[in-house]
Amino acid sequence: MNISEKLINSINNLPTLPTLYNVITEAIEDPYSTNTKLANIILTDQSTTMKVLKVANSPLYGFHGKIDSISDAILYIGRNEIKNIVLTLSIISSFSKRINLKGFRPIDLWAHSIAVGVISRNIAQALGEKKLENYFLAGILHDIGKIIFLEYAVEEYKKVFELAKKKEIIINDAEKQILGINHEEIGQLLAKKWRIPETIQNVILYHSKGSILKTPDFLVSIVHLSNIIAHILELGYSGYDIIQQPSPIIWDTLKIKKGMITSLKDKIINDYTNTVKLIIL
Amino acid sequence: MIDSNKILSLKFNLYDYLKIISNECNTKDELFDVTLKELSKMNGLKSSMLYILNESSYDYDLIKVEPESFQKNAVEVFDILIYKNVFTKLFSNDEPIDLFDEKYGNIYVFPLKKDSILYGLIILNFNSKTTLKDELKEQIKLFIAVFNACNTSKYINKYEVNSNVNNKYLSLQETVKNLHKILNSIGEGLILADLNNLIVDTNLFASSLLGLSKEELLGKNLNEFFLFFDKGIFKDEIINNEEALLIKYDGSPIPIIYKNHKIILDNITYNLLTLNDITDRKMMEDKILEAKFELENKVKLRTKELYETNIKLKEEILRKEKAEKENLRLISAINQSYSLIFILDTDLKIIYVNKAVIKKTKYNEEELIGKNIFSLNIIDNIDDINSITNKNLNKESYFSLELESVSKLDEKFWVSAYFTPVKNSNGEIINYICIQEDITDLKNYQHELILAKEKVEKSLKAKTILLNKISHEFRTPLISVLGFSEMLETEIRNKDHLEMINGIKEGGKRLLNSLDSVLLLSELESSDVKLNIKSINIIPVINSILILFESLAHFKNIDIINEIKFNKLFAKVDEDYFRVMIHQLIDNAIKFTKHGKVIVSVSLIEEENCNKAKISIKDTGIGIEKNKIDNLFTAFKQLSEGLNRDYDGFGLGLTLVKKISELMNCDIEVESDLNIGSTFSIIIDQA
Repeated sequence: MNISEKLINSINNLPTLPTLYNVITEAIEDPYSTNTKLANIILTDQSTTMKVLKVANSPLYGFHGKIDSISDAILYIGRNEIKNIVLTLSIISSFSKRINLKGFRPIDLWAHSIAVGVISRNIAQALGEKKLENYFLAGILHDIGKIIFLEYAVEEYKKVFELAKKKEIIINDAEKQILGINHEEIGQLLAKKWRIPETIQNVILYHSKGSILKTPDFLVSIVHLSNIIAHILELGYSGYDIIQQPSPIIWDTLKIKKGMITSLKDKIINDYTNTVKLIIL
Repeated sequence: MIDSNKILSLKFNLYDYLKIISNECNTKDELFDVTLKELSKMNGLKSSMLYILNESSYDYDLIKVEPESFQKNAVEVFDILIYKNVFTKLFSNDEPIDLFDEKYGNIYVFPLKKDSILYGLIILNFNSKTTLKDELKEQIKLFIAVFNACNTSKYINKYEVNSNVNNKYLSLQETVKNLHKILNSIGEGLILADLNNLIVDTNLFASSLLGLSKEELLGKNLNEFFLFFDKGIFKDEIINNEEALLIKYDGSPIPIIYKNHKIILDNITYNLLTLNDITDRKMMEDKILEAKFELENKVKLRTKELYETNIKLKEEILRKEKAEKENLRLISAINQSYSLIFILDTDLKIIYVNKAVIKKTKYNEEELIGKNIFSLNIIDNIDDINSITNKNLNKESYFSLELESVSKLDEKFWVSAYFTPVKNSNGEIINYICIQEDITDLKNYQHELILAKEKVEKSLKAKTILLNKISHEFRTPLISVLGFSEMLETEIRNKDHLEMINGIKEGGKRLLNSLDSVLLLSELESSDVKLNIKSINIIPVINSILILFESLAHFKNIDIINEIKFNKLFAKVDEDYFRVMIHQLIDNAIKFTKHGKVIVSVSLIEEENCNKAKISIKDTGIGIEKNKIDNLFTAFKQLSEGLNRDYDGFGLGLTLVKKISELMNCDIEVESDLNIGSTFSIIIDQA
């Protein structure tokens, strides 16, 4: 069994998502389920309830502590976004944060992912997007493949970093050379196993390219750009220092006005620090 | 002594040095001057520095540097000593320490100690190729011992290094030791870092927070341990109580609160970070938040409950108001009712009466309440009433009684009392309502009616008895008249006489007939008639009657036509009375027909459940006016009543027929046109 097979196999052994998430997904898909029913499901898990309320009250959603019950949270933030928050929390808590590769820690990667989530949401909002759910989750999950590598092939992944550094190649190519599969591909396999919506699977698979096989996609483009911005602002650390050039296709897709990102910087940094503290602790 | 042939040799002579310092040095500065100048004579020496502990600031002040152009470098060299953590070693060790720096080459640090207190340093900086041999080190140590001796004994007064200072040094040493102990034992992390964020010193708590020993931490970049968004965060002058995430060496996050102060040690600016682990506080905050959420949730639920209760209450109030209005309406209706209305408890004691009761009974309310309902009544047989009420009280529906009541003023009146049970929601009887209507007038009318009826019955009976008697009284002599007439008829030959006798005989027969009818009627009207109903063939009966009338019809020149097409027709009848009915109807038909015919026919009426037969007797006689048909069957009534009676007889025939038909349960039909004729039909059940 070569390393890539071993890794793909490891996906089958990965922790399944907590039952809570599945029950919530079911409840949301049921057109007859009420918000009260949904709230009661979340309330069965004390710690998730707390965290959902904290995240819902964080500056990211702009309600500033006005939400004091799960049913309010569902009402203000929306069923799907609440589901996404629960998913985010369960994924982050299901992976260990204690591995320490030289100069690269999972916690930095999570911080980076949170940054990408925060930036994606902020950009989407600034672009006038009405349906803001999924942006945060897409950002959180875009590098989930790297987490798998850290969990299941830590020694080999060390070599990936060394190779990328030495030959100055992008991490995807280094991953391919050493592990036979890159973090985008393995991440998408995991997302598929978790039955995460396809739109987000696409983000995981194509975030470094910025489009789905040259087909423009708003969500993919935004995460692609946010990933780069997170690197520039040094929010978190994704394991390598080379800052990628944004793919030209995204400018047509997103139509970002001059100065928009700069004007968002303070809010992004504020949202980031708050969200990191809430989610990582 | 000093080996001057070595590449590195001391160019000064200890003896000369002693001579110079004993003769020429009168001040501290001169001593320092001479000392450094002497040391500078060494080969390969780039510079030499002298640092002395400042009593007030506890910093090491740079006193002298040779050559003087090296002033700036002296500060940098001192920084290097701090990075390399030279001081801790100097504190505990009297031996000189050597270190290598890429920029400055070999650096030798000689501690100046007095009573174990490090009060100064002599730093010698050689180029990188020059190293001090051990002998030379010993020489320099000796030289320093001389310096020490001068400093402390000979110039003790001149240079203010007196015994007081010595004591101070001693206590200072203690203080420094204690301070280290204290700093290591406080539950707050202390990290000293230079302006490049490289860690210079930490206390024990900080090293345990970061998960590395102090030695491992020294020289590491602080940023490695913080998950900050802004790498330049420590450039701020002072940061007070910022929350941050500290990342332990193993990667686990610890929430902290930190302060950053700039401090200057030996003219060098450092960042002093104090860190507090707030994991517990975070947990507490979470708990508080949790409690708050819970509380909010409860408040929300409670508010919802209250809201619902409020709505229910409002509804209840509205309902009650409505009920109250209804009650008022009901009460005023009850009060103004002309009926006597009582509300009774389950023992039939009065608990409420309306105005009509008070008005009628003349008792006031107080006198009535609590009394048994029947106490107002005149009751002949209390047991009867009790048994009726007991039987009915627990039943679902109302029951009624007629009772005679008496008022307070002894006025008697009759009431009809309706008792209705009142039930609660569990179906238990809690009250009775008794509504009484004054039926005194009704009672009176009833009484009068009964009297009148009795009177009528009496007179009717008298009439029947009278008729009966009269008939018998008449019959007996009549029979003699008839009998003797018949006997005379055979004896008399004279034609005129014979005709007279015949007249007497006919008149007698008629009278007898009439008497028979009266007798029959009175017999029928007396209540004890007994019919003998049997199934018989009625056709021969009718035929036999027709034969009887043939001679009379012939005499009156009327045709009797028998149209009966059956030989047999069975019906349930009393044969005798049936014969009377047919006889009477045919007799009437002949009697009221002057010319023409009388037709007798029988037809069958077949209906769903019963088969009937219709016997019709049709004449071409005088007929009856339509509006007088109803009077036909009344006793002693001939329609042509009055002076112009053309037809003899009492008019009892049809009355008899009617009476018999009622007794035998058969119907009589009459069709008639005035001056054209009549048809009388009897409808009987077939057997």
